[in-house]
Formats: sequence, C-alpha cells, structure tokens
Amino acid sequence: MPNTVDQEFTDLEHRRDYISTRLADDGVPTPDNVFNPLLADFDDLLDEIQYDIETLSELSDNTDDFYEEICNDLWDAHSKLQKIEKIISYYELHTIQVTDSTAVFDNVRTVVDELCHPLGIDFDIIPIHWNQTALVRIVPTTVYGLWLPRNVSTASFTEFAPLIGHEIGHVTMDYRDSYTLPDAVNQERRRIAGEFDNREQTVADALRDWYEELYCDTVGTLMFGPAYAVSLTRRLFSDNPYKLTPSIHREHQHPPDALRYHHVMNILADDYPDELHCLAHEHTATFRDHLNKLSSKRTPTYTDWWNDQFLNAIIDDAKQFFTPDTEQLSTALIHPETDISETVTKRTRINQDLLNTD
Amino acid sequence: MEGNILLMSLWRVQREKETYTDLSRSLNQTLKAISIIRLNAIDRYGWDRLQQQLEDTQEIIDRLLEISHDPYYTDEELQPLYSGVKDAWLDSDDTIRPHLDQINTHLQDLQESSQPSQALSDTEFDILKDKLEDIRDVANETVEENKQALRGNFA
Repeated sequence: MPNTVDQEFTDLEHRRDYISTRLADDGVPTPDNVFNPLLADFDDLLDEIQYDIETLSELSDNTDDFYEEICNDLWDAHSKLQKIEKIISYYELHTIQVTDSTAVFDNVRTVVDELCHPLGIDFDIIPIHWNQTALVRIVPTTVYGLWLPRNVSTASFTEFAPLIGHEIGHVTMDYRDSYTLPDAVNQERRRIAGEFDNREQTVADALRDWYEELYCDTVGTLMFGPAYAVSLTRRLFSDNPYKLTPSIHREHQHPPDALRYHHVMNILADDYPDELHCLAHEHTATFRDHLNKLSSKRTPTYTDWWNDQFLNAIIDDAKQFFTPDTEQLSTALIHPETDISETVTKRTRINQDLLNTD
Repeated sequence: MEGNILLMSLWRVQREKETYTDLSRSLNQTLKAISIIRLNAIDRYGWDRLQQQLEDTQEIIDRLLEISHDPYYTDEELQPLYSGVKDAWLDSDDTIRPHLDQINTHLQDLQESSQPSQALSDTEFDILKDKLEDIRDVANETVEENKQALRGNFA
C-alpha cells in the first residue's frame, strides 16, 4: 500500500492515544457510559482496517488495487474519531462554563427533568453556551447536549425555557420505533403535493422536512402552553414569514414562520382553555403585527401548500407518542390558589412570568 | 433568517451523518468483497463474512428499489441516497430500476455460485463495481464534514 495509508493510519492511532490521555485527566468529567462504547466501536474499526490493510496488500501483491477502498475505510475511522473529539470538547466547554452559569445550567436540568415525566423518556442533558438554540446528539436516547444562546442568563432564562420543549421534541424522535413519516402525515403530504403537478417533488420534499419542525413545535406547545407561543414568536424573525423556500438547498427547507405561529395557536385553541388561548393571543400581538406588515409577501400559492389536515395529522402523531399533561398545567395557571402539581411547577412559573399572571 | 432556532435541525444533520458513514462503510466492504472474490481469494478472507457483506448491500438496494416504486415511501434514511444516485445516473424512477435490479441479480449470482470468481464475466464484474462505487460515493458526499476535513480543507 502507498505510504499515505501508513501515514493516515498512524495519525489515527496518535489521535486515539491522545484521547486516552485526555480521558485519564480528571479535570473534566468524561462519563464511561458515554465514552467506553464509542471508543470500543472505534477500536474495533481500527483493528478491522489494520487487518484489511495487511491482508489486501498481500492479496494484491502490494499493488494499489485496494487503495481507494482502504482510503474510504480511513475516512470512516476519521469521521468516528472526529465525533468523539467533538464530544470531549463539549464536556470541556460545559465544565469551563459551569462556573459562571451554574444557576442557568441547573435551571435547564430542572426543566428537562420536568418534561421527561409526561414524555416518558429519561436522558442526561449537558448544557453548553453556544451561538444559538439547538440539540446535540451525543448518545441517542441517553445523553444530549443543549446549545444555549450566549446571552441566556438567570434573568433571561424564562423567555428561553419554552424552547427547550421544542428541542426535547427532537429527542423523542430517537425514542420512536423507526425514522419514518407516520402514515396519516404521509397521506396528507401525498395529497397536498399531488395537487402540484409540475412541482410535486419539491412540495413533497418540503413537507417532509416541515414535519420534523412542526412536530417539535407541537411537543413544545403541548408541554409549555401559552409560554411556548410567546417565546417562539419573540425569536422568529424573518423578512418573509410566508416564504415557502422551495429551494434546491435542503438545509433551507423550514416551515414559514407564519405557518408555525398558526400551528401553535391552533394547538392552544384546541388543547387549552379559551382563557389561556386568549392570553397567548394577547401576548403575541407584536408578532401578528409583524405578519400583517409583511402580508404582501403572502402569495396565493402559500395557502395552497398546506392545510389544517396536515397539521392535525402531526398533532395526532405527537399524541400517539405521549399523553400531554395540559390539564394539570391549565389548572395550575387558571387556579393558582390551588395546590400546584409538582410535575408542572417549573412550567407554571415560566408561564406566570411570561404572561404576567402572577 | 430564523432567529435562534436552526434552519435545519442539528439533530437531523448529525443523524444523517452517522447513518451515511455506516452506509458508506457497508458499501465499501462489499466493494472489497467483490474484488476478493474476483481474485479467487475467498478462503483467505472467509466466505461467510463476504456473503454477509453481499447480503447487507442487497438489503440497501432493495430499499432503494422500494423508493423507486413509490416516491412517498417513507424510508427517511435512504431517501437522500436514492435522490443522489438518481441524479448521478441521470435516471428517473423508471430508468433507475433496471440498474438496481441488475446489481441485486449479480450479488445474488455471486452468493449462489459454487465458483463465485467465475459467476460473472469481466464486464459484469466491472459494471457491478462501477455502480456500487457510484452509490458509495453518493453516500460519502452526504457526509460532507468528513469529506472536507480529509481533503485538507480547514473551514
């Protein structure tokens, strides 16, 4: 085999050794249940590659016959190692940041614990200040990282907290049996896309991508009630909230802001008492004003791309996964004088703060 | 611009990357298996192991075929691979099927033959390898970060 194979292989071994050294350092907690399986998987792969390099070199009489395949193996090993290196960095960052953000990180954990109960899931969360809100998959169904915007503090945590509900929606997808669109949602997708003869594929693809985000908005709304609408609308900002994004760039396939708002308010209307729906309506007036000011962007096609049947199918799908505790939360919000169930304590407080109903 | 919520979820990006790293590896193992069979060196590597690799790839091809029969088939994991291969081969849902069928027929022939190295002609071996390389390369393209890092880009 050419020298490049030896070089790359040695480089992988060095990086693996460095990880061992790094994990032996007790300055940063690096849990065995996270790293042991990842490293065992990587070590097996490296052994297999070494065996292949030796065997295939011999079989091909030291020609370059298997060079491309070996390069591909080395790429895979690199990718797996890169993932482990990134996870270590997340733990390091978390450890550095926790000194100044203990209260915020504790708040995140309290909220996540409260959400896990009705969702019937259980996992560890590693909060990390980054540049936006996002979920990082560390070990599926077991450990996740949560990116928080840099400016989230104890003072601004209340406004941020409901978005954790959206991110936990992504976690629940790892708990579902398979990574497929539910039949009911898919039927609606087929029906809507079928009405666009010349753009059927584009519409079908977009609706598939929208499903995931709208599903997470559903989980967030069912978990947090009116506070989710308030928090979401304070973060959604676009110069075209009606944009259908039929772009060739898949990463831009996201539901229009106006549709997300419509979906969230629909859920609040159907699953929460009128009183709470009205409160959410009142506290999202600024966002409706934003939508109205940009209403010229709302093309006739916009309304044809979706309908409430598609959205309802997503809500039904979320409810297949878990039974929302909307009743306990509603009671706690409407009758704060009664004993508040401890399973909704944090969410009640967040709603009261955001809706000024304390 | 979408405020603080990502345009495409990081969850999906990570899941896709991990899935396609595994897919690429599986297809690459099959490419090696085919070359080993062609060199008539099965005993040196173990026939059971090679057969398993051929079977795994047949399953992947079967899933691509299912998508080709129904664009709304809900195989989320393989959908990007299917679209990528269709684009690479300049195929439609109808024209991609004979290619995929041919791959699976050849993989089956190799498994059922008492002399696998003789089961296909040189041309058939070449076509099979070329087609599987294309599919593996599309899987690799999906693992964008991996590809860029190893090409020496430091973005």
